[in-house]
Amino acid sequence: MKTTAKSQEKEYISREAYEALKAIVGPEYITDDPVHCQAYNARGYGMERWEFLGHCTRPACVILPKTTEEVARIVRVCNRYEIPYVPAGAMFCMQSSPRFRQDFVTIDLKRMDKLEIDEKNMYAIVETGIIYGQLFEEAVKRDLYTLVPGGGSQVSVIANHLMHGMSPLGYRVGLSERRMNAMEWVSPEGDIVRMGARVIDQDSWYWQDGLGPNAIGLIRGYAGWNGAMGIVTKMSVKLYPFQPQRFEPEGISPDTHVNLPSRMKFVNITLPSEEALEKAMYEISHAQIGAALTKVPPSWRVIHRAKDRNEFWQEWQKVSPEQLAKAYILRVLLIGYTSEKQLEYEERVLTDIVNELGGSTRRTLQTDESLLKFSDSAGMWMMTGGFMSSEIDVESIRCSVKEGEILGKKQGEFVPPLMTNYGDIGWFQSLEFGHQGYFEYVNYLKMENIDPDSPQYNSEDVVRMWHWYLCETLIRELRTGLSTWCLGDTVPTRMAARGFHDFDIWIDRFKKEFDPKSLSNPVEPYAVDEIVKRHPEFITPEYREAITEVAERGKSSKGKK
Amino acid sequence: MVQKGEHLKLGLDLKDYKYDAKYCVGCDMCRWVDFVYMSSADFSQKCPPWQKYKLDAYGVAGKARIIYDLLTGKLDYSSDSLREIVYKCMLCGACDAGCKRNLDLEPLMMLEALRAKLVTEGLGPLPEHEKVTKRIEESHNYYGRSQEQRLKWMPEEVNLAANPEVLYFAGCRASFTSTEIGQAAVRILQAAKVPFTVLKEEPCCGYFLYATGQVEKARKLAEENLKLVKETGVKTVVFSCAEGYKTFKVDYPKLLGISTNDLGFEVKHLVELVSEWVKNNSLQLKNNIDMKVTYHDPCNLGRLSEPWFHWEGERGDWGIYNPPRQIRRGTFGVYEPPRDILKSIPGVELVEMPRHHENAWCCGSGGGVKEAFPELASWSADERLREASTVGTEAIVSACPSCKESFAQRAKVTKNRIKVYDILELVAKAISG
Repeated sequence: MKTTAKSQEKEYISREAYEALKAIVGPEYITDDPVHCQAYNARGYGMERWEFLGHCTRPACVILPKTTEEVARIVRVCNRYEIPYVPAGAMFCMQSSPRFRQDFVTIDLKRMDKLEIDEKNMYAIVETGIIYGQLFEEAVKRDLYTLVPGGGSQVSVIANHLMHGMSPLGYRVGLSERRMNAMEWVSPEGDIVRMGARVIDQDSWYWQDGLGPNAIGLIRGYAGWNGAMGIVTKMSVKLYPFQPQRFEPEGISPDTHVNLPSRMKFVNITLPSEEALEKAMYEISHAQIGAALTKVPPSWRVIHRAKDRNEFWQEWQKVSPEQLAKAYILRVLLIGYTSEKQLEYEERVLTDIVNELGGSTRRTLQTDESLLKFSDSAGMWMMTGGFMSSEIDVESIRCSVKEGEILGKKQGEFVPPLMTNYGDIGWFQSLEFGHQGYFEYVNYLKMENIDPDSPQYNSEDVVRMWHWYLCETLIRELRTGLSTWCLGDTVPTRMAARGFHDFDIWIDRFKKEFDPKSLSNPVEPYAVDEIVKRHPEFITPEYREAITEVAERGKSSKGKK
Repeated sequence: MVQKGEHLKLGLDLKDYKYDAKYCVGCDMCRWVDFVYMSSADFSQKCPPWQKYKLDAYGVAGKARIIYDLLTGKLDYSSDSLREIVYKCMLCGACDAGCKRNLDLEPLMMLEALRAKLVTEGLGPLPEHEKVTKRIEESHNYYGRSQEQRLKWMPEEVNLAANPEVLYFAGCRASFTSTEIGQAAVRILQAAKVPFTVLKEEPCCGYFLYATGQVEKARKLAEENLKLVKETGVKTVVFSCAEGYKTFKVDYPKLLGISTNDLGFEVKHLVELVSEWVKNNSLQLKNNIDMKVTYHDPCNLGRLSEPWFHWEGERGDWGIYNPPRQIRRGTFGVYEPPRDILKSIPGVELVEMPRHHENAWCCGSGGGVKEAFPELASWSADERLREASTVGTEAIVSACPSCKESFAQRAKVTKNRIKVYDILELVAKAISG
């Protein structure tokens, strides 16, 4: 690998390569200045995993293309000079920050900000620089809506669709694979590929399928490629009919919210047991009522009320495990999409289900800052400055609840450096009217214990944290037959793949075929394996045993490497 | 990382912001209008340099990463690009309000401390700023004009009180270039029968010095100005300029290590008083002004105008402030009084622009940007005028001569027919025609 480029003393990119890149975008939109490049270092979710271990790096060069053609030319130059590159959308995830190597080009896609809406056929064509906040507002003007993900309105629409695209409103319409139409992809070697209906006609954006096999599956997945399979520069995403009443925003920061119009209603329900909670989710889903159906961690209710960290901790320290143990609270959003009558009907059905299960409705504010617009996603960092999910899972509803129970019991053993959840069973929801459940186990970290710059730094706590993230979730799930989808995010993919049908074979084959020089974010999707290689103490013997057990059980046919 | 027990002041020492620099989560709430209020893809951003120049170093999320490397010695302060990045920022505080919607970091203080650090290192301010600094030092005003001319704007019919309750601090712009604002202000004070006075050789408030990181010079000026104010014996100092208002109310206490409450007098913008007077009928806005207007929230009157609370302490367990701090989020800025006033003027129809209150887009002239990067300042003002044009307004009204001058200059250059007013001009018209 060539290693030339300017990054203070050392040149990681040759002058020739830099000039070739500059010729594409002009001098205004490229830089190898270390100060400018540093702005792209260690950005986004995952600081505790990458930055604290010292694996985040400053890119050698940052470039900002405006069109798909420019992106393709940049990628071809990178291939010519063997320069690794990483695409950066909203940069809210660490995957778009370079790691381990210092010769990356960061391709900042924010200048690609076109957005068009086909109102009649209900889709939006977006470029990579468009975020959900923008798309949501343009959609609702047209009585349509999109699903803002849990990551927040600041997330890139395209990047999020290439992963799971989890939103509470996915309760009705599912995850992102069901919401994408045609797209334009720059392959890792710089070919511009039209996908879906655009294969037939380049102006046809309405459908995900086209002639030949559906190649879109190649470039996306629940855990996604994290930028390791080229760059999608344009995508058509479905929009859905919405009710026509407008939200009224109210309040001044930090207390801003929208008031729900009369055709929308939140209902919070208390249920007497975990079993009743699970049953309620199934019944409500099967009745096909509601727009969102979630059970949220109690800490979120305290975050919502607190203005800052100090206030949060004053309140949180009053919470008792007994209180939490009884907190089987479901949050339902009802929307009268077609009429007020629809809302009334759905509320009656909901009430019947709740009564049958011995539950009751609670006082519920008819305002929102989360489910619809997610203005508060960064609030996850409010309590401690550190936040990580140890599981982000699609399971059946029943298994989602089960996973929460298992992890809730185990989490206490890792406090500190985790903040106690008092055994809470986590965040889960129903997807696609009960076809799947979604489960996420959120954790907050005592940062001073794991930050190497801190005088309270405790290396044992670091190891414990990694044991929790890398090992414990997977061990529990492997031993109970539950699934995990954090592979590639907090689980070492290569190491774990033995227990999962050797799926890494396909990653390697696709990567070899389409990115033979391995330049498209080459650290992914095996970045966590790289961590484990450098820090073998992060893997417990029990983890290795669990993987081996599953592999040897031979639950499914093994792939050939 | 912050040492437990490490004493912080969260003033103008950059090293106090190592935590804030490192723990920026990259959520970009510093870039985007609060999503609750975002109303379109256009006008969805609130950081002018970031939107114009695109590279992330121009936004505070990128600067946080840069500051962290500066503090840990991985980057050098002497880089030319660093100076450009640092000063291509109006210090408008939109980022700060956005961040604090969800977190308790201090982006704006971090940026102010970074400028102070550059000046300490001999790397700031920029040459264009030094020209203005020289004028302030030599002539005691921003324009370098003779202080003997300072009060020429005062209308003859206005009488200064022998026993004033209020000191009207006009500021350099109202004294020399936007004299219509000063004249409106004193007419309003007179109409409200408030005994007031002015400083005969009113010095510069020092906003420019502070904003460009020249902390020691700003501190010296603050001490001198406070002495002058105290000599008048007034209990209230009133401003028509948002920059002067915020400088006295927030930056002087910050520079002197005290709280706003410790100044010994109240600091008010005239709109705060006018709003009260209109509500209690001691001022009547009786003349009709048939006009559709939009109100531009000056940064220094809106999100940046909360009082300063001096604090010293530490970040303890879980990063909790100990003792607890009063965090300035822009929640209690002066947003409603100007709007109440406009709604009270017969014939005025008030419409809001898409970005308003704590999400308001900056006029472009603050932070030393107009002096050193006029193209950025112009572009920012043009964007705001474009935004105003989308709401069908005839006029854009603000409460700061700096904002007014920016908009008026750009409207003239671009042949935009929008009228540009300071709110006090409309109040004066409504009182007496």
